[in-house]
Amino acid sequence: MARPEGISKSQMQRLGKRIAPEGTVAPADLALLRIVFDHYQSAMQEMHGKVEPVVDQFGRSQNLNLVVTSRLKNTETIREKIRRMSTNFARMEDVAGLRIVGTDGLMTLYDQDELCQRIVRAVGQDALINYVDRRTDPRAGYRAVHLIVECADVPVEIQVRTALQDAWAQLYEKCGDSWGREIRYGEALRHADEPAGVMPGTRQQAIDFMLRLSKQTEQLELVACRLQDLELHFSNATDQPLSDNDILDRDEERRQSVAEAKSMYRELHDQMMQDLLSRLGSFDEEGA
Amino acid sequence: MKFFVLTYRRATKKLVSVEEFDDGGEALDRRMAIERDTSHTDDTEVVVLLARDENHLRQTHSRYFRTARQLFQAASEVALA
Repeated sequence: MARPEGISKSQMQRLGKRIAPEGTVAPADLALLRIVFDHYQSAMQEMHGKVEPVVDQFGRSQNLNLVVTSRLKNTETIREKIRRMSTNFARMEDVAGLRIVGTDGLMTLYDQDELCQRIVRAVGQDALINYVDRRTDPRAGYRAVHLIVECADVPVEIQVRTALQDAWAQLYEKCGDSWGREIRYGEALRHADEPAGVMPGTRQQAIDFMLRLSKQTEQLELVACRLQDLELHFSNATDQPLSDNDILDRDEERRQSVAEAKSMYRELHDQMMQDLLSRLGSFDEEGA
Repeated sequence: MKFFVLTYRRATKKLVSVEEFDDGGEALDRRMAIERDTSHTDDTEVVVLLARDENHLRQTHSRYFRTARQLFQAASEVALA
């Protein structure tokens, strides 16, 4: 499958410029958009077919509940993005995308890394355009791993999220519904002192809360990995013959390290829960 | 595998409809028809999604299906897992 039938990259760029202004899109451009979307949708479907078996197999082997879906970006969001960021439509990387979420909360950062590697192997290193790790470089608090891969000569974005990362992102996107999608791109918050609407308090308070929550989920996920590291470290350490004293020392070291990590985990977890529940408790009945 | 066309109003934060299709082309036609009917207002979000079933969509795109309060509740439950 080549590029959208009969439409070059420069034609697509020009199409993007024509549809960007607010108002009605010309019927001829709607017809072109239909062809472009059809192509992206086919690419998305093809990539979904390649990736889903990999995700299913990984989920079974690691005992994780992973879900894959795909979506085609809606026209208004594309127009808004071109207007706001002067994006070249032909270079937009998220017109079509897959989302993979570890829905049961058991997926760790290590699992996330390993799953991403398996996906890259399955689709082919040559198809990988970009590997964006927003866990180490969050955008406005958003954390996830995005793989941009090429399929049928167009980019397809594959988002891989843990349950916590996804829960955060869904909440933040809900805020974007009320305040404008620009908050997703880290742009300055407008009307910061107005009521948030989607949650109690002002918009600024809500943003501060969301940024704190993002940091808390990051720390929590890192400590969970630290616990996993300790488990691995001590289980591997039994290869060498040890004296009784060495064994006692090692057991003590293990006990202390694990206790420290668990205590840190509990502290972070309790703080996060307290924050979440105090916010939850102050919602009105309808809950925005 | 099914295609779904979701219509969501950002202003009210409410899902208006979920329509299911076996054929991707029909789903795309439906999406563009809804976009035309809503006069391309940026209040209405119409997306085509591909999933095994609607339950999967509810898990990966919960924003369309849940209120902010329900999303908070869900985040708390995930944190408790």
